[in-house]
Amino acid sequence: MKELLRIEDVEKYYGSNKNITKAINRITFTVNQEEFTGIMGASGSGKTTLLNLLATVDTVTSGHIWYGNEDITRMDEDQMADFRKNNLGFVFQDYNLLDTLTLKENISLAMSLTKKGRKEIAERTKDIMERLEIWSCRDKFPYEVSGGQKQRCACARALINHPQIVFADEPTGALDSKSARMLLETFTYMNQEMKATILMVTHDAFSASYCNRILFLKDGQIFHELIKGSRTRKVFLNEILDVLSLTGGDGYAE
Amino acid sequence: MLSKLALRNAKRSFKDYFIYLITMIFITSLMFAFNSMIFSEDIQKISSEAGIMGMMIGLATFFIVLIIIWLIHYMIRFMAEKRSREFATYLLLGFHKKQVASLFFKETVILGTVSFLIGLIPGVFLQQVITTLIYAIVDTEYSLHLEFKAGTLLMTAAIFAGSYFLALIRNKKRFRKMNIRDMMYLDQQNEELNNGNKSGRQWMFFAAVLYMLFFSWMMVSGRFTDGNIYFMIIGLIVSVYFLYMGLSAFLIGYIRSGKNGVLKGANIFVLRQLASKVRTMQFTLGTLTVLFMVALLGSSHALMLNQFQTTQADVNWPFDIAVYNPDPGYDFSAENELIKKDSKISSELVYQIFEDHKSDFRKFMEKYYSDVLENSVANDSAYFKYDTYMKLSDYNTLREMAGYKKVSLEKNQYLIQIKSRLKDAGRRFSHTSLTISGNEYKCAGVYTEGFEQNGHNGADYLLVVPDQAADGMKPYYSLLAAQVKGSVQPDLTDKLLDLHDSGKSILDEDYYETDIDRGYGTDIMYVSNQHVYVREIETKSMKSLLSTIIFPLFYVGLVFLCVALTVLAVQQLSDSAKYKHRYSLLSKLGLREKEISCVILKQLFLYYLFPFITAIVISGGIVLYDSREFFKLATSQAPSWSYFGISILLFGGIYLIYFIATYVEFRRNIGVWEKNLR
Repeated sequence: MKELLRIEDVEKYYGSNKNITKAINRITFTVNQEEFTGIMGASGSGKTTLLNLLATVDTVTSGHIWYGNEDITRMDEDQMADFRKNNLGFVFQDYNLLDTLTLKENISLAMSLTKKGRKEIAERTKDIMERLEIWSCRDKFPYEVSGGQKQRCACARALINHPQIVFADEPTGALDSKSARMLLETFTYMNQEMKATILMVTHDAFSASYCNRILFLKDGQIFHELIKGSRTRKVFLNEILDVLSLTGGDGYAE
Repeated sequence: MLSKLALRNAKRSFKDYFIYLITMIFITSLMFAFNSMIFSEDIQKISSEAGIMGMMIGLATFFIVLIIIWLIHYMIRFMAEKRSREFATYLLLGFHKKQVASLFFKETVILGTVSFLIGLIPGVFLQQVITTLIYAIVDTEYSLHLEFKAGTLLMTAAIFAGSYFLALIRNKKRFRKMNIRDMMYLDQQNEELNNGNKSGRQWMFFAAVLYMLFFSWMMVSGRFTDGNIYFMIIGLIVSVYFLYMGLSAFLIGYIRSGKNGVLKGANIFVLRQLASKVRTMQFTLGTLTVLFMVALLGSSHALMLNQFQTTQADVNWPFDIAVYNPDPGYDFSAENELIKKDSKISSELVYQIFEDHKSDFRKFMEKYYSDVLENSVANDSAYFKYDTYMKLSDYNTLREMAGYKKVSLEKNQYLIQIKSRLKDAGRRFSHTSLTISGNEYKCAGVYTEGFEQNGHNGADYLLVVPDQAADGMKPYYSLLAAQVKGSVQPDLTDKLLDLHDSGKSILDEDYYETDIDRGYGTDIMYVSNQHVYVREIETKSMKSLLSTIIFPLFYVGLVFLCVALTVLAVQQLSDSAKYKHRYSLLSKLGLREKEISCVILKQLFLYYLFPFITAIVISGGIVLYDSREFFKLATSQAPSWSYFGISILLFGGIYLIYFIATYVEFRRNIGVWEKNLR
């Protein structure tokens, strides 16, 4: 498969001269197209920092992040905004839907920002909402639907512009186990049927077991990598738990 | 400990509610400056109407106090809601409700006291500005000097403290009722809870617009009567509230229609924000619109009166001195001597007004008023019993004295000299011929220069005939008109009056000459039935009297405007802090900094614009109507849009300042581009 994202020697420091925290310490890896990658690690291991760097939400201290031939570490604010708009999708733990807009409007808004025609927006919104089974609550406001529906709406919004990659930050964090399972199945569907590349940050081994590949982070560095290959999810989950027990991570199985 | 905490919290609030505090400071200084007019010796020195000024300011203060109580109450409730979680934490820590309430009370008092004390400083300067303005209006020199009266300070402080007290009482009750759970979630109670998606109330929007159109039609077509106008105005205020009740539904309807504009850029975001805001704020928005209306009306009327007073002197008193005497044979020698004693007469005429035992013109005017102008001011005291005539030679001499061109008449012609606002009446009458001693006279023209026609040269109108025609008539009364060089004695009017009224007291019944045959015209602004007019004195006294209305009107207008703008600004700013995540989400969706600024600008613009535009449309119509009514009864020259235009410019300027301040603060609050995305 073709390489989509290349991270080269990325470092991110916080704090002033005297008191530096190395949130990310010289990380290098690649992500291929149509991959469903998970990043795991204990609290404070740098997962979210890494995701923010890849998602152009934060800037690196040093190193490069290549999307194909484009190095996002060299972009200015406006270029990054345009890049986000056209290439990236987001799913957050707390949904981040706009509470004044209906589900349908939340999804169309992301597309109308790219200045598409009214008809195309309507068609594509309907299509994706049907695929993710939320078309029936299209005119409801976020506070009127369940957490799972909200999160699927967030997925639909992340996918509407056909992004190169979807970033998910603890997407199951606020969901009950049943909704979490449904969402993870949605992710798998997005990955396998819609050919979406997904990069998910989680500290939950069960969620991680849905990925094809997992990077383990500790103290800002990658210390292990697992690839699912042809194993079943259950076997993969046990392997993940083994790794976590070795590192004293805070993962757990449901 | 509590006081320390209160002080620290107050400091923090000072930053958070900067706009509110600036407004309180501004209101304090306005209040101080205007209240000082009541106690000022400088004002009492120049104005005989200082007492009336005090009364009018008192009246204005009443309305201002009401509005300040509303503002303080609104703001306190607002702050309490925003900080409810913090208060709940205090309660969880073991504070008593009373302690928390007194903590909040202390903070509020600290904030109030600070803004009051700061407000006094600009207040002292503003007082000088207003005093200078009043002196300028009555053409007197004023040398700046500070006048700090304890009375002013006490009154201002009392009003301020009283407003705070009244606003706080109601708040205390709320505190007592609240429980910790409620307080924890109070700041989360916001519009999305009753967001709704119903567009059913759209009819209210259209009904309100229809009523407003109906109101304007009634006004433009002049269908208002003394009987229906109050109901119409009440209806108008109700329709303003209706407008906002329906507006949210209207916006939702528009969003749901999915028209092209809705799905363009972030429009849907702006529209939804607006719709939900309008929905939760409908009552406040209605009140703000009414406040803007009152503010605009106040200042427009103040400007209208100001325009009136600057042009009145030339229209009403073209002669420096005019004296009336009911005796047609009176020779005015005593008056002449009195005037000469102190001033130099440059030209002078003693003359008579004649009557022919007819009252054709008077009857015509009364009919004109009731039929054409639909007004009842043309009553018994408006006109002389008989029509008033003047000899052409006297007329021309007077015209020359006043600086107008001379006119000429053929043997069988007459002319009409009438107030300019009644030109139409003169023109209508000019088709009628007069019969004097059996001869017929045709009208040669209508003249409308200012000619002292409030009981001297006739009342409203005067018929000018060739000298020989007047010879056959009966002298009616006599007049003295004089132009003098330089200034006259300030008590000249009283001295001239004393020549005849000596011994008569204002309490005597015949002082008011109820049975005398004299008319005073149909003016409604600044009318007097005096026998003597001295231009300089009359002008001064009129101007100082009108200032007593003009200044309080401006006062009310300014305060109302600032209060309304503060509420608007504070609303938006608190939202900007509360809903920061919405904008940060837009940024994550890939909106550039500039585009987000544009979204904010659009949102603020619509939010600010709606109440203002509504107020402009409504009050504009009312001013138009009022100035036309005013023009019917008082001579004034400026077109009505000019008062209103200047008001809008003035208030629009203040509006803009608040708008810009809000925008800047809004952007700062959101700060999405300051790496605050995480």
